[in-house]
Amino acid sequence: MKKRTKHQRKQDRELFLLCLPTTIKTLIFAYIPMVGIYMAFVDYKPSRGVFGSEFVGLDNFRYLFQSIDAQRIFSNTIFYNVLFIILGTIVSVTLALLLFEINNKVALKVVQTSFFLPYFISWILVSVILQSLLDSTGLLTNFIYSITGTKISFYTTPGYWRLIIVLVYLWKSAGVSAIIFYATLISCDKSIYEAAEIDGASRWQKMLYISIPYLKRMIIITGIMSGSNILRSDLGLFFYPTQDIANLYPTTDVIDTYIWRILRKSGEFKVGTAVGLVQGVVGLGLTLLANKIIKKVEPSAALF
Amino acid sequence: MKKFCLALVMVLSVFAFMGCDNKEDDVFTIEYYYIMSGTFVPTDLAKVQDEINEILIEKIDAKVNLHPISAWSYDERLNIIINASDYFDICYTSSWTNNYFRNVSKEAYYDITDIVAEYAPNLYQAIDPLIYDSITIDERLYGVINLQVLPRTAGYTVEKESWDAYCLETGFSADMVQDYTDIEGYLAYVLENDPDAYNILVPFDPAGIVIGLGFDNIYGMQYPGSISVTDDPSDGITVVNQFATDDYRDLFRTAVEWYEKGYINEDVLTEAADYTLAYSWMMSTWKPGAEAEEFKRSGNREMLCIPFSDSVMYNNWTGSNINAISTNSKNPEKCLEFLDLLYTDKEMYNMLVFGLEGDHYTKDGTRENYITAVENTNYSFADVGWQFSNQFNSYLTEYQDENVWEDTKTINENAEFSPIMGFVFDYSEVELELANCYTVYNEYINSLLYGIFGTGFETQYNKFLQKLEIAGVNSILEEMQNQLDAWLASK
Amino acid sequence: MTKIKLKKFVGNTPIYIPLLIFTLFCVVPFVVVISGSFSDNASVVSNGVRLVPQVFSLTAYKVIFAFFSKITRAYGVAIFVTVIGTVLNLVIMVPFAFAISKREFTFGSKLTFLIYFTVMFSGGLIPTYILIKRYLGLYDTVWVLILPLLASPAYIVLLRVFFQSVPKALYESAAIDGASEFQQLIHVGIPLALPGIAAIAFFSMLMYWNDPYTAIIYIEDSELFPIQILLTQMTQYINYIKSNASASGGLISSPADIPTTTILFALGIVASGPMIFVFSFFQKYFIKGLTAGSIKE
Repeated sequence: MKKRTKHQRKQDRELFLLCLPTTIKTLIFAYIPMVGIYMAFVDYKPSRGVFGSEFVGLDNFRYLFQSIDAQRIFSNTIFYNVLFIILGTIVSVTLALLLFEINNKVALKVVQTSFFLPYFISWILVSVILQSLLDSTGLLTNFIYSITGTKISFYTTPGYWRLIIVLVYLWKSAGVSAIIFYATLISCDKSIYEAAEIDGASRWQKMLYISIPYLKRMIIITGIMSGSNILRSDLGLFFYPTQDIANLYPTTDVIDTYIWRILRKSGEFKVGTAVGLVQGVVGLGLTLLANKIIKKVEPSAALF
Repeated sequence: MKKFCLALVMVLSVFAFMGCDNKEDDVFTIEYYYIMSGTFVPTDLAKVQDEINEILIEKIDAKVNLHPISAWSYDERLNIIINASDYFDICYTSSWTNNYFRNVSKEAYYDITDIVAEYAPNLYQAIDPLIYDSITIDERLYGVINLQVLPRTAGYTVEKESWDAYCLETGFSADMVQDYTDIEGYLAYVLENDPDAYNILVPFDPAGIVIGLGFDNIYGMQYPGSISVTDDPSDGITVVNQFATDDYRDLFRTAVEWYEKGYINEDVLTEAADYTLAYSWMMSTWKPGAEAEEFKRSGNREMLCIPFSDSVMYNNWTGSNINAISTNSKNPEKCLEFLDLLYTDKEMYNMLVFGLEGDHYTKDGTRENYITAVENTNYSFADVGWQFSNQFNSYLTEYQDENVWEDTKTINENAEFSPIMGFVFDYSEVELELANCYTVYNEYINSLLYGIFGTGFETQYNKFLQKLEIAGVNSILEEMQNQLDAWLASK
Repeated sequence: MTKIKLKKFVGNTPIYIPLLIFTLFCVVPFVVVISGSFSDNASVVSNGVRLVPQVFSLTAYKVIFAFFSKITRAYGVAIFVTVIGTVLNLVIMVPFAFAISKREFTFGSKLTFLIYFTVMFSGGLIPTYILIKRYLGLYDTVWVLILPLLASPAYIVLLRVFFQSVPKALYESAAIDGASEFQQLIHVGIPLALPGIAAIAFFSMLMYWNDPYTAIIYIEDSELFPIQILLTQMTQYINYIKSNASASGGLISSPADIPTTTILFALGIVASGPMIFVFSFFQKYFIKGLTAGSIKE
């Protein structure tokens, strides 16, 4: 560690104190149980405990890697996550920029509140609403039938669901993410905008050359954080809208839904722990890689 | 820095002691976990529990702490309790919830082989030893089986009014239903007279069809590998992939036909069956007095229950109603005594199931053994009364025939045993293949049962079988056959 | 005059139209939920939900409010947990995020890594359960609903970004005036990062309010169920009855008179209603221009 001045040490001490409560909480609630990850390598028998159970090496990982659906769940998981990161960011940033242009207080309140509304609708409700649109008497089904004369059976055709899932995802989270970007925008220094205005910059120029660069750090950080969970998925998103209908698995089954089903049937936590470990290792690898690259390009946006 | 470490240790130790329970209980308390069908624990549970404990202390010098858990979260809760090695004494376990065999392999249950006959004699002797064999692993026993209707019989529940009208018109009658296809005439009749009905037949029930077709599953109904109950051991018994048999193929085809004809709701995939509107459904546990339960399930309509398969003691189902004791239990003998008491003591059984006389129910003045529930009482475990050692102890309610327990006992005595009754399959060598087969089963079964594949049926059905092959069904069948042959040879 | 107004209006349409579309996209389903909650079950089951109830009915709400005393209790628990939880959460997260936002802080990146590592790796349910129940004794207490959820690394990292946008010069000038790090946080950091803190505060409230898991696992006493769990229980119960009657081999049967679908909508409204009102309180922090660059030492 580089030599610290007395002043530096004082500053460090004060700052560390500010960090203490969070650190303690994390050590207790997250790091102490973390030793339980070892369960991924044993044939866990509760009465013997994690460390007393028989070591089985990589046996528990077979359920994931030698699963008959392994290829499908991996490709679906990665496909959706990459798409969510890219599309999600584009849509949320756009919404935030648009929101930033609104000066009317009433309009602002209305729009902001509406951004949050989808967040309040639980996934179970989402599945019911979706059903009203897509089942055989559904609004959308009838609409399409009246125009084209074909009756689409949404719940038995996996092909449509990539689009449906993406739309549902954006509906639920784009607004909420937009608020984060919006909060970033409004905490910036207004004088730059005023100076640009004086220089005759149009609205679009201001957006492109001031706002977006200002959001760069937040975009990169949220991108990296999503990357850490590249093999994870929101169970609610994939399980409820599809109602766990097996016909849709080819395009909607992801690692987490697959493992959840296995766990529900067998109750074998050792498998769940093994999968969690895989997800964590891949996530960590990706995060460190991304972090290294960002450090060279835009150091202030690096995670650590 | 040092000061903070000290403070940290002090804070942590406070938390550590918070969990300590220092009260000494003079009487052993049994922590009993079981299923209830409602959402909320009955408000009077503590009161009833106190009454029960008065009897218990007197008879076996112990107390019980009741933990009824909603059926929908039972699996989840018990999963955590068992995997975290939490303390419990007795829990309900079976093949369809809180899986008995899995938990035995996790060493979660107490080995009662040597103590069961001494401490739970009545309960233990009530069930045929052959049935106990079906839950005995490596010659050790880990749970006691509850007494209720034991054989399984597939049947149909139909709406009585329309059924009577149909029979009147066509001369058909209930005993002419010998097979699952025999109600087609009735279904057509209903459709003709009520074209808007959208749930004439609730789609085939996976348990019902297994029993209806007479297959005894070796590992579970969601897995390939079963034998036919009509197999004769002297001819040798072949383990088959039941999904690939003609019986199943024909059944799935029938489902497709019936779906096309409109007997099954078009939106069956997304809309759960509404039993209060449906005209008919298959049942996997026909029993005397089923009408009473179906009356409630159907939304208070009078129904008729028609059995169509033979009553057979299935290896997969019969023994699967078990109370097990935890390996960590501090007094397994007392737990067995408690379960035995539930078997013999009719008063205590009914107290547990129906509550306290006056508070929760009133005895019928004219008919012996009949009771009526007090209006708006929320105390009743009647619909899960089969968990408590001996359902024949139960008082009768309005729609049950007075001979219902006698009739059930008769069925119990006369039913045939499956040729593999008592066989326990050791699945450890094929765990991955079984998990993969389960995945495949799960993916196709609903579509096949509901008959929604339409013209694509042949292709999809073959795909299903192919995928089972890739998942390793042949290794599973081979392993099952080897173990079965060895077991048969040893008898 | 009108020409300019018209031009401004037209110029604004590329802004307003996409926003309008997205706003409708968000609001319409919510209206549908409200409509569904006031519908009778049969029409919803056969035709699906519509924007306006096909047949008006209060049955769903009546069924829910038959459990009125339980519901008020559950609201109470949820409010306590959410308020105390969020306050506690801010108290421990904000200083941490402030500290790690300072580049000079020697331990900054190490501490960030320490907390972020837990996002990717976790002991899992069983070890955590054993810790919480057996060693910390938090089982069946209200604190188990609060403590484990504190200090979410994602929120901390987001807060850090907000603190990073505070100009270093402001901290330095405060330091020159003799301010300690803590004072810098209070007088410089927080006021300037306020929109971000408000956003995270609101997310934190949502997290506590919507938490569907903790109580199911760690609470047995139904007096301690927060509203979300109570309603999840009712929902799950309905779903279970619908789908599992068969798996038990016919041993479990279903009740007849619950309006199974509309009750889900009513439950949704009952569960989320309060949060919407809370959000309007937070909105004042999101009005542009409130805090930007206003504090100059």
